[in-house]
Amino acid sequence: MKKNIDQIDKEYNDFIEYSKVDIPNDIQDIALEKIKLSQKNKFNRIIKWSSGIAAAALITLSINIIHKNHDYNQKYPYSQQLTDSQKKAEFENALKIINESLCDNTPREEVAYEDDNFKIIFTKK
Amino acid sequence: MRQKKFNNKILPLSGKIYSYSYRILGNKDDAKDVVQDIMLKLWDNRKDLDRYENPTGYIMRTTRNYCIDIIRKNQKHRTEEVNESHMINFFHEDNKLEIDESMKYIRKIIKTLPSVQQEVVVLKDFEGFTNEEISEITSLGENNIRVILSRCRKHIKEQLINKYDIKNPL
Repeated sequence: MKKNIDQIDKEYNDFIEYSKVDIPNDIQDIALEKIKLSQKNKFNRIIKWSSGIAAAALITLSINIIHKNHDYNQKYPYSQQLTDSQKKAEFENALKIINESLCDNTPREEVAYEDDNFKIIFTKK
Repeated sequence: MRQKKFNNKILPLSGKIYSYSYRILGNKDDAKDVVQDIMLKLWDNRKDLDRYENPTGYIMRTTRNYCIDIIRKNQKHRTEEVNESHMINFFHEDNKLEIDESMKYIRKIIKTLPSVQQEVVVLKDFEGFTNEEISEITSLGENNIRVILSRCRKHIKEQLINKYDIKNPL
């Protein structure tokens, strides 16, 4: 088979044309879609992280407030809530009751003093 | 690089990335995946792209390295070190049925060329890249590329002249 040099060039060019890869028409759209999806995922991740951090901060704050309120509202034993002067007054009152009971002839039982630690009961026979 | 510039300058290279990665990988779905992954990488590093006046070479080199990584992963079970250019087969058997004998012969001639030469010919004659871009992609000097191209074309022509028994071709 005889061919001339122009035909050889043409064959080579035809081969180049033949070997060209068929590029899908939507290849740009596919790439763009992937970028958009990635951006959306990134945004969602940021939202998730921010929400998580905000929730954690809220929980910490709530725990802190509850803890502090608990501190302020805590009930101390009765004796510890009294000031020294109140305790003194109560003790004097107890002595007064004892005195009155001694003077009174009717038999009876009187609680002279009572707190968490001890109780004074005066019994008149 | 802003989104508008990215869409105008980088996104249109999707076709070239697809074509080049298809030549390297020989699979359309893999080539599509490569386009998506490369575009995403470029989007994430779009600030760096401003450094390049003509980023095509850089992008195609990134594509080439990415495809070679895929081939390497697929060949992981092989123990021997394989030169990366030897891993690439630029002419896959495709679905195009109508191929005549002369085309088969030209393909055969190109396939007998050393892999580096094959790559340069493919990038220049088949993919239409400039010498500067080919230099960026392959890390070969531009003068070297010119020499390779001239030798390859001469070799192909000589082979065809011999086959068709052309007397006094010039």
